[in-house]
Amino acid sequence: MSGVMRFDKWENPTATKSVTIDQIAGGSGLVPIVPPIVTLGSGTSTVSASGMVTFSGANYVRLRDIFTSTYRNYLIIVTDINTSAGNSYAYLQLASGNSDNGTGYYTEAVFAQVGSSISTYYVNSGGAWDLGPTNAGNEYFGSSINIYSPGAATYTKATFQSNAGNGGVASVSGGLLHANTSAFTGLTLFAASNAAFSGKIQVYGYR
Amino acid sequence: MENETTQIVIEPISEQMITVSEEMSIIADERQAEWDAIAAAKLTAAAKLAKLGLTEEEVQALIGA
Repeated sequence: MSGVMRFDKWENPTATKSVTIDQIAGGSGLVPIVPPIVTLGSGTSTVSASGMVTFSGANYVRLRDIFTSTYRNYLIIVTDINTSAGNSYAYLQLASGNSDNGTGYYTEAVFAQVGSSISTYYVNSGGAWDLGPTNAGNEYFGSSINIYSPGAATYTKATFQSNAGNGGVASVSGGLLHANTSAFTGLTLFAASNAAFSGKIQVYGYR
Repeated sequence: MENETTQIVIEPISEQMITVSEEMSIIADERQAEWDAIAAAKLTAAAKLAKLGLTEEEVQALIGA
């Protein structure tokens, strides 16, 4: 970073000066990403100027070309998920171009629900990451997923925390792994049995 | 304000995703059945323990409810 201003003491102190201050190199923070392409199996979708994707009546939502060389790690915020037909589950896959990868997903999770003991669940080498139960009521599902290096040619790891709405407030958290050394450029969100659902999804890059 | 640069595409769901979704649904259903069975067993155990005169806290401590 360059940030030194120097004035010659013999200069006219009343003359107009302009100073350019460099942006702070390597600054940190979350940067909203606007997906260039959103693919839906059905339904409708809008995308805000900051990249918030709002969808309705969709049986999947694919955000394409969001993982680039600009960022290495990403935060995905999923909110207001309502599986209109009833209780379901929210699943996530990684995609390359317009193709989802459907194998090698591991989910290791802890599930805590009001009035119940803490449970654990796992899916080993499944077809998608399992983010927990959803429902059709007002207790909308929400989840935050940190994805590490999805664009690198190495296994992709992630951690997630969901507030699942099935039967009341419920906490689901866990670790995710995709045992695949391909580099991925996007992701696809869908529900069990490809039930139509509505909600919002926003992607941020970690700078 | 909507973003006008994003392309919205509607494409039919793929056979691959249908297969994955069905497989994952089966896993979820099996998991739910397992949890329901555990919950039912705990209720049964709680009822038996209550007949022994244990307090609700003592029952919960024993069965991990």
